[in-house]
Amino acid sequence: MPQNSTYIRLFHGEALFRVGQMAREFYMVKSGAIYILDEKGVVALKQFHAGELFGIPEVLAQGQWANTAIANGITVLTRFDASHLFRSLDQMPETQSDFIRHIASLA
Amino acid sequence: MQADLLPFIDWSYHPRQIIAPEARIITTGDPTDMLFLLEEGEALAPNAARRGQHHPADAAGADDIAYAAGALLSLLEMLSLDAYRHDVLAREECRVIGINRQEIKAMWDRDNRLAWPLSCSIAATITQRRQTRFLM
Repeated sequence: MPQNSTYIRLFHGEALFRVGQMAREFYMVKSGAIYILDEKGVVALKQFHAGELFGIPEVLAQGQWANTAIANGITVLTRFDASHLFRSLDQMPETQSDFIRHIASLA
Repeated sequence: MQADLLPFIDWSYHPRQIIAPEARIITTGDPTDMLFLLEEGEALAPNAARRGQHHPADAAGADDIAYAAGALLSLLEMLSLDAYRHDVLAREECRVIGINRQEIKAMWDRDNRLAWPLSCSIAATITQRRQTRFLM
C-alpha cells in the first residue's frame, strides 16, 4: 500500500462522507460498493465498485463534497490523503500541475 | 486566457481557420483528435438539450458555454472523449487554430508521464458528471 493511504472498512449504510464536508481524501473501492446519494439522501445517483477511483477533482479543487456517500454492503476502500496527490503535482513541471489544477477547478 | 495553460505550444506555427458567423467550429460527433484555440471572436456551445433550436446570435443561456478569444474549445471533451459531444458555433467571425491531440500529448510526455493521464482522468470524471448532472 502506498504511503499516505489507509484501508477503511464500512458497514452497510455507513457514511463515507457527507455533503458539505471538505474533500481532503480520495478513494478507491477494493470490495463492496459506494453509493452517491441525491440531495434528499434517497436515490443513488452513482455507484462505485471494486477498482474504481473517485474524489480526485474535489481534492484537487480543495472543495467540498457535493453529495453524501454511503456503503452498500460491507465495503473496503483505500483512502488516499490529499498530500499524496499534491506531492505528485509538486514533482511535475509547474506548467503541467497548473494545467491539472485548472482542469480540476472546472468540476 | 486558457491558451496560456499550454505555454509549450508555439501557436504561431499552426495554421489558422476563419469561421463565418453562425457556422460550426466543432460539430457533435467530430473526433477529438484536434484541439481548437479560439484566437479571435466569440463562440458558443449551446446546451445539447436545445440542439438545433439555438441561434448563435442569441444570448447564452444558463446551460450554454460561451467562449471568448483565448479559450480552448471543449477542452474537457477533447481530453476525455473520442468524439465531441457538443456543437460549438461561431457567434461572429472567428479565427481558430487547430492542433493535433497527439502532438500535445507528446509534448507533455517529454516532461512528465503522469500529467496527461491524470488530466484525462479528471476531465473524464467531470464530463461524466455533467452528462448525468451529478457532481462527485
